[in-house]
Amino acid sequence: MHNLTLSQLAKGLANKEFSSVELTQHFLKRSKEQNSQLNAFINQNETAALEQAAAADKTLAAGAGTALTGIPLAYKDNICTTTEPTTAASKMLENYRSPFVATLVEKLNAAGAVNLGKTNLDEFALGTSTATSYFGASKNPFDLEASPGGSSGGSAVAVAAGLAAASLGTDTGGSIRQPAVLNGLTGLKPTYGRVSRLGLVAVGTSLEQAGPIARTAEDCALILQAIAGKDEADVTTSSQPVEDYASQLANPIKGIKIGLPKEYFAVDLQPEVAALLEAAKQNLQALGAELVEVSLPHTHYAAAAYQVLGCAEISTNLSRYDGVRFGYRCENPEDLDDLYSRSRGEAFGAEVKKRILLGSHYLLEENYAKYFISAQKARRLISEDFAQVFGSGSGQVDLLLTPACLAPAAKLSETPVDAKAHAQADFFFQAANLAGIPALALPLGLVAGLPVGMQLLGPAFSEAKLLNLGHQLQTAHPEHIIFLDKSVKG
Amino acid sequence: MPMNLTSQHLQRLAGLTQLGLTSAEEAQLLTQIDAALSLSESLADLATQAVEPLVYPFDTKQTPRADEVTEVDTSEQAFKLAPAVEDKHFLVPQVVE
Repeated sequence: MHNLTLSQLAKGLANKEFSSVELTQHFLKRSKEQNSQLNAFINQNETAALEQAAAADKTLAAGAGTALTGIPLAYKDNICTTTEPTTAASKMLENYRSPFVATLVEKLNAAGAVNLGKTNLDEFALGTSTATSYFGASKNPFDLEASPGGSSGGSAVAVAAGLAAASLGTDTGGSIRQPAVLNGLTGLKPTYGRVSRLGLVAVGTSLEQAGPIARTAEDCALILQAIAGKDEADVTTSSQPVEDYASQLANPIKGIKIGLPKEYFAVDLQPEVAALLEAAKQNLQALGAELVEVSLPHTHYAAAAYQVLGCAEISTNLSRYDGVRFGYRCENPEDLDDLYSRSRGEAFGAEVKKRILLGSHYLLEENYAKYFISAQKARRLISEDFAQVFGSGSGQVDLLLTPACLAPAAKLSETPVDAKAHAQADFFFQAANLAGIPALALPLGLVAGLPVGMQLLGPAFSEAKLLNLGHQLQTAHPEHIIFLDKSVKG
Repeated sequence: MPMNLTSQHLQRLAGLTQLGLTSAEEAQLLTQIDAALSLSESLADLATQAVEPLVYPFDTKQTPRADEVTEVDTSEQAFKLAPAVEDKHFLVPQVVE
């Protein structure tokens, strides 16, 4: 069952080939066998999962199910649930239990999905490999020594290893797309405001979005359908009507114009990755797509603007962890200042501290205009670049295609520790977060046994078109869907 | 390009953010933050350019929702999460003599 896509599992449930309880037990059993090695899950609540599955079976028997009824999903552990702790992979929140569920979890619960548990991430979603998790790094199931990517590494590993049908991640600067690519999966960062952020552990408020990590674009469409939409409790969500994503998957893509931004290709791609990317371009052309080179001239500002704005937001958002109202508190504080600084000093990891300090540096009165306002100006320029290529003139395009990695996953022991290396790992991703546009990561194939991928970008609220293109590519060329067809390498 | 971040400046930032650092962490962070700061220098040429800053991805107006009570009181649950509580108050070390 773990070698089926989410949509195939939904058909199996609808046809009574297996029940949701059987499916959930299957995934829970696989977690028991493999999680000690893969470290994909931080916490699982078997009892609650099986109760949800039993309820889903009743709904299915009554013929009242949705496409997600009875489907076992995994949630990144910075998404609030009430059946497990929500740790954000930090000592600070090791024992935190949210008093409420995130809106997106509420929506998936209402759709009948089963919560298999909470997946590992970089501490507070700050990193590109899960190596900064307080609970230790997750392992890439294609090679246990390779990085699983991050920050939603546990969510990607859970799906790639067949421990969940699909999962939810969050993406502040590539954190859904990069681990999806490195684990041979499809990952969608929706348009900013498409999915409610209520109940996400806030880090990069103006940058982050939650979205699906799954086998296929079709699977992502089914999940997005359930979680998208206005949330009265999150003013940053959009009132734009939610499209019927699944019904548009079969649309032919003949005549679609795809831009190749030259700045994204002016990088040192490993030859095998470049060859697979070239093959994907040819596959798209064979389906009737027109490919043209375009320019996004302010791309070179993205890494710096992301660092400044991201760290400023991190510094501000993480100021709430003071050891008073919730979270870790140090032993025997001498006074209030000692309580604050020792609680934060003892509970935050090195990467989190670095970004808090960087953010506060950028927000100092003497630096505010030089860095913070300049980064917001860069954000405007980057956003206008996208508006220009997605505009309505004759040279404009419908979507963009870019690389999504320079090479397959590096060894975990070699994953980046400094800001420059993080910026390189995130190069293909950050501009979409700054501009708020949607982005879809898709598998390209395997290089030396490890997955690599590509990325599609579209204008705001173009998820239907992105998923349509992804689905057409994956239907016509199954090499764009990857299953780990072997047991975990020792 | 190193920015020559000083230990004094790092301590100022740590004080402002109430972040206790060990001396070993301080040495490591000095190097890492210094390297990170060099990345943001590429923005310097924008400081004087007439570009309207973009705060959120879209320039959409955020509208307030209707002023209706939608939440139930979960303070009991919230107090259970606190490290120290007495009579519905968070306990902290004495701050007034």
